[in-house]
Amino acid sequence: MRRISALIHEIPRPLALLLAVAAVMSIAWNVSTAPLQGPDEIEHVAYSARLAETGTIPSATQGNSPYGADEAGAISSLQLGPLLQNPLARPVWSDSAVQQFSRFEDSLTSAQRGAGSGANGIAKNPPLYYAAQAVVWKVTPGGFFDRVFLMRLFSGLLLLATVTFTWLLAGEVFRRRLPQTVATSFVALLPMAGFLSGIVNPDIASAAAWTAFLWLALRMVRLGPTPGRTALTSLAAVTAVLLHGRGLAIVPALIVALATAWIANRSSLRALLTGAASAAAVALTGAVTYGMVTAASGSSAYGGEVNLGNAAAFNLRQLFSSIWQFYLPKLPSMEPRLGPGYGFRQLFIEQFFGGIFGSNEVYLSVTTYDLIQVIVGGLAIAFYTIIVLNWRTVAGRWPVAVIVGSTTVGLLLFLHLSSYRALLGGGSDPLITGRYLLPIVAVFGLCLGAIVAGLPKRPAGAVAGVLIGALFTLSVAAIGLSLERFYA
Amino acid sequence: MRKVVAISVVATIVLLAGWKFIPYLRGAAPATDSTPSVQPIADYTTVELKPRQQLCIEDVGLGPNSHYAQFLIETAGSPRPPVTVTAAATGYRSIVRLAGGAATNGPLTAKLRPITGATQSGRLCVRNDGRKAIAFIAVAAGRGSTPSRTTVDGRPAAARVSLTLLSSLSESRLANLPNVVDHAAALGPLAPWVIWILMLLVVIGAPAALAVAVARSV
Repeated sequence: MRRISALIHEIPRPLALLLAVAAVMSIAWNVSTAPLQGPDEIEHVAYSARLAETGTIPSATQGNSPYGADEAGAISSLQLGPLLQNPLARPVWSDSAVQQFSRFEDSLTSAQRGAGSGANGIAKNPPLYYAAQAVVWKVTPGGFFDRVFLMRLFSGLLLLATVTFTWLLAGEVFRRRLPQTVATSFVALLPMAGFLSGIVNPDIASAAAWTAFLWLALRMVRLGPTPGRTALTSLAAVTAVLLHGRGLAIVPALIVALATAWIANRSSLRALLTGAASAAAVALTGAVTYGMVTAASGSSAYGGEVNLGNAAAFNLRQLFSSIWQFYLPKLPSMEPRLGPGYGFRQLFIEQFFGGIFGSNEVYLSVTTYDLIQVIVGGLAIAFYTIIVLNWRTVAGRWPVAVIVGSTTVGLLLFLHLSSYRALLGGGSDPLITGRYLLPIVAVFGLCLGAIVAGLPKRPAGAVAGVLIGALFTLSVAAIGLSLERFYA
Repeated sequence: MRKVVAISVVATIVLLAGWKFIPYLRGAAPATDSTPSVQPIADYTTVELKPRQQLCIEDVGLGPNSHYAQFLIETAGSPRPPVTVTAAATGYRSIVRLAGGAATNGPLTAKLRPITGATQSGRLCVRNDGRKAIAFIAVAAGRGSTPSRTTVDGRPAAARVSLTLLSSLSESRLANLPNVVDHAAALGPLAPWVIWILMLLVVIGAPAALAVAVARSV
């Protein structure tokens, strides 16, 4: 007990305060979003419940009972199904209906609660996040809503992990405390991060794993790539891969990180071989674990995230044109981009920096998104200017730029490739949304920290205060809108 | 220096809250009591009610805050005929006669006499007292619909007529906050007073913590 108390006292005060704020905001998101109303939350809960009650994974394609009996009852009798994406609907909150549901729950057996054998569209996801949530489900006393609440609290813990890893990552990048605090505050206060920490969804776990990977990779470069450090960095990458199909985008980043560590530290051939062996051993263990767990369910690995879809129609030039038009106006020589009118503004401004909540039906005002776009544009110019002005320092710390840059670009390319593949197959959904950027949330925090680090001390403090105050206000506004949408 | 930084955090929050939050919270909006049969989001259908026919929605939770019943109607360009709206449950009956109205599509709202005591399952009926038909906006049975049943003259209708019960047609968001907290507490383990404390932590505790965190980092 005394050791724990000493450990708590060792936590830097700013980090402890940011963790407390993140915890409060996460619980506020948990309360303000009605149960099962996050993106695909119904399916994420069903997957975890099935795993908890039967030890098996639901089928992604077969079956006629996607949910356990308790979840199906909540969806139907308390209107949590019709509530989805319908801003004019409200859940049933009368005492009599809730009591009736409790009586129904009491009559259920464990087998009935775990009856959700499929088809469950998200059963193609790897099982790590759901295995952890299954434990929460199993150990939680009480009824269905108690379990969902506790599962959401577990997501909240993953936000706290992400905040802590961002703090450590920023500590590797910055020499001063203020930029470190600003970078960490961004992650603690970003509405999209808070929202995902208040629902059941593996994206917040991905954010924690990717941020841990970035921290461990930079630490490995600084301290040298011993077998232990390469194994730890690889473990973070393997965790990301076992959490979500999009985690596969971390594999090239891991290779770049290992290569950077060896080059930057001028490692001997022996050190290189032992490091590579330990990284490979971790990767192999991850692959075997995944294979063993999913073999029973017959799921295809990552639901096709790794294939190129219609390979015959795949065109590199068209992919490049598609990515160009996502961010910039179409050039005369380009064919129109595939799919709907969807680009930088929708993905980065509306769905990530601003945020869209509930099951994509809770919006901020257009004016707010416009304002966010102006602020993000200004910050991007400030970041660029500071990098150019300090290019000697940046060049001197090239491993940081290479690792953070390659991880960011790797994820973005992966998302664009998946999106292009989906559109090429004739789909109208671009399959790329703001929460998919959460794995690199800490990178945006680092950019904000870099801006503050590049300013003279006095204005830096005031700018940091204004940025953090504005971000907090945005977060509270988003929580309030969510509360109003579901409960007013 | 630390003071300046802490003040910049708090001042930004206070200014933005004063500019956006306070006018928003003082602004008025309808306060929902329940949505026994939801309104459609995109595709919708209608249930036609001919003269002298009666439409009923069964299994409606009628509670002490069910002050208004609101349907959505289409009049096909004709003036809306008069209707009688009846809400009934065990030991409770509220009858409202609405005179004919304008030829506009939109909400048809009846002020109910609220039930005393706990919420009860009842029925809400509308009788067409005029000479022209009215179309009620409805949702086809399926994932987006509620389990409530709609009947016309006792026979099941092809779709479920949308019905919203309101506790107020227009109330400031601040005044409605206690109801919002009660509703949020209903489907989770936290009691309303815990949610109130959480709100205080968000509104007062978090800004103070942020101000200290940034000030200590300078």
